[in-house]
Amino acid sequence: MNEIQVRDLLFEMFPPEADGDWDDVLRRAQGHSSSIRRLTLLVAVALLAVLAVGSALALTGRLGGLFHGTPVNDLTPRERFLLSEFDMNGKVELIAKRNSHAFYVIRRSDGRLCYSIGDVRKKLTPAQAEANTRFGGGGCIDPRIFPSKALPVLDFSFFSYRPGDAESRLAGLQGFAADPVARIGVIGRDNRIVFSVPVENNVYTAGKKGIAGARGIVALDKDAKVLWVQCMAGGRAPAAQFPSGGCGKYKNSPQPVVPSTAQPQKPVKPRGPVIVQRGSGDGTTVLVRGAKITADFGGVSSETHRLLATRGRITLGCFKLVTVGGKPYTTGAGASKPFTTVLQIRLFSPDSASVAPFDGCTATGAYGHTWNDAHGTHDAVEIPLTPRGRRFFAERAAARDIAWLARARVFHNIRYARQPLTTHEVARRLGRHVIPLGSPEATPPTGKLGIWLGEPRHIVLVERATTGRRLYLELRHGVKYRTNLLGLTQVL
Amino acid sequence: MAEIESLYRERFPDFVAVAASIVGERESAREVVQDAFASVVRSRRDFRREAPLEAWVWRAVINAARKKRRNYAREAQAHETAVAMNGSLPHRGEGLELASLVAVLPERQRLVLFLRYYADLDYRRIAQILGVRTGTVSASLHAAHNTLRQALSEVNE
Repeated sequence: MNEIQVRDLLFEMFPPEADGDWDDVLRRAQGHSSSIRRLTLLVAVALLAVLAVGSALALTGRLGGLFHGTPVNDLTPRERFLLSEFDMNGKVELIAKRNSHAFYVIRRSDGRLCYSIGDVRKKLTPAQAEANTRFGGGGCIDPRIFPSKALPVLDFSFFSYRPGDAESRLAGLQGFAADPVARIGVIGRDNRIVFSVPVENNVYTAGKKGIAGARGIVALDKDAKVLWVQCMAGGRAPAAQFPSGGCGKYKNSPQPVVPSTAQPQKPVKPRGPVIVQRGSGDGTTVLVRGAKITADFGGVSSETHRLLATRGRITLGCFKLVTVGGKPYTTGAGASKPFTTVLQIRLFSPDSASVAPFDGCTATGAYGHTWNDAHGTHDAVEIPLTPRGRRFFAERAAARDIAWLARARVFHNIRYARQPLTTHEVARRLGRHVIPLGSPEATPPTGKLGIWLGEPRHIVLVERATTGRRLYLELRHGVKYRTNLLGLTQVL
Repeated sequence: MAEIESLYRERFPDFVAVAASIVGERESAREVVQDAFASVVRSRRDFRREAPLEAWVWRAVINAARKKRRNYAREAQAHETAVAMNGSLPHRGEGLELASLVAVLPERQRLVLFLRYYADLDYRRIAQILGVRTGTVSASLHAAHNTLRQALSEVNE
């Protein structure tokens, strides 16, 4: 690109402006004193607001000085990326390790604390090692809310329920607790504490122990005095397997009262002028202006219209492709809104991921996918905005075909089969879309999904995207062993 | 005062374009230029002639544009108007890609690009305006070229 091209480009971006208005400049130069008065008023209002926040803070009963651990300084690029995706960027500290769980606190620069619990796993397949991060579930909370006397426990427990079960099961009791909490108790079917675990280093976990019929948890101090109750059996339950009717004498603790001060928003710092992009695809045109997306669905087919409109709401979003640690990922944002022919959304995010330039935009309806269904593996509307975006859509469609089959119920008995199966037998069972491969290195023609089975319980699924790229998933003993689908599909 | 007015009349389109390269759209850029010149008129007696008047005025315009952009950022939403002015930006193809690439250049590189190729200022004057050394201007310009060239090859790969 030479100087002439650059000059032409700049003049194309900003054609020379008409002459200015010098009289207007002189008027503005004279009318300055009133704005100083307005500024003084603003300063006074801001001062009052600061005083109000200080008073409110004094009432919350915050417990400070907790949750300090060992700094974690060896985050991988992927882990940093994932933390930033969830707005959890900050200083990471390992608080404790218990029962193969690791407990982390992340201190964001805005003062918020984020908490995360991850698995400590050592023996990983290459695919698992690539996809794995030390952080599992997590979230951020205002330190005025937790840790506080009103909320001394941040519970990360989860329940499991499978069709046929008589009741749900507390499958993973774990979380963070403030210093006065010595044990976490579980309220059982008869509204009595049936199980408890100690709180050590401000964390608790029951490992893999499951507790059927759990109705809630309580925080107990060292004298077994109840400090706080969270009863999950409140109100009328939608089905018998979900607890209802309260927890007897264990009444829910009142919700923490949070001062209603507006949280300072971390401002978006644009790196330059707002970028405009236009694109079209699947009968839809999209106009992107910075973080504002306008989609016109006026040209969609009747089938696409049905998919988008049937359940009322659609999700419209745009993404950009990034490389993290040498691996491709997508980042971006979207919003769910009632379907209209022309739809406008504004993306908001404290980082630059949700402003143009994007690589593509998509719109999906409120419908689910199963492998090899009539909806295919593309979103209802896909609009590439760059060549990379176009390539991504093509490769994602092939990747989804493989990943959705690997997770499909029809494939479950094949993936975890105890008896040896033959490639031809399995391919026949899966229908005409799947063809048998002669070797694990073979590639099927575009539009077909290839499968190869070997011993012991070794399965390779392969598909060639329309871009020519060979995508594959290798399973050993039912576990994903090696793959190049990471970054293309979430379901794997 | 006459000197300031003369500069305004001669260079108005350049001031607006450079301000627009910072704030992102032309209407706000016009406002920025008007306000910056009003400020220059008010504080003209503070000008000590340590640098040329033009550099002093340019600096006022650039600072006003930066302040405007910070205000946008504080509103936590991107301003809706775009680099496409009066429909002049091509809607598809290479033109759009180039404009997008220029828009995401680091600010100093973008400013140097506009001051050099739009306002047609020499390296020494740009250095005076930005308060940097001439070598820094040269390096920034070189980096801007490289960034554009590299990004273009990625887009077109």
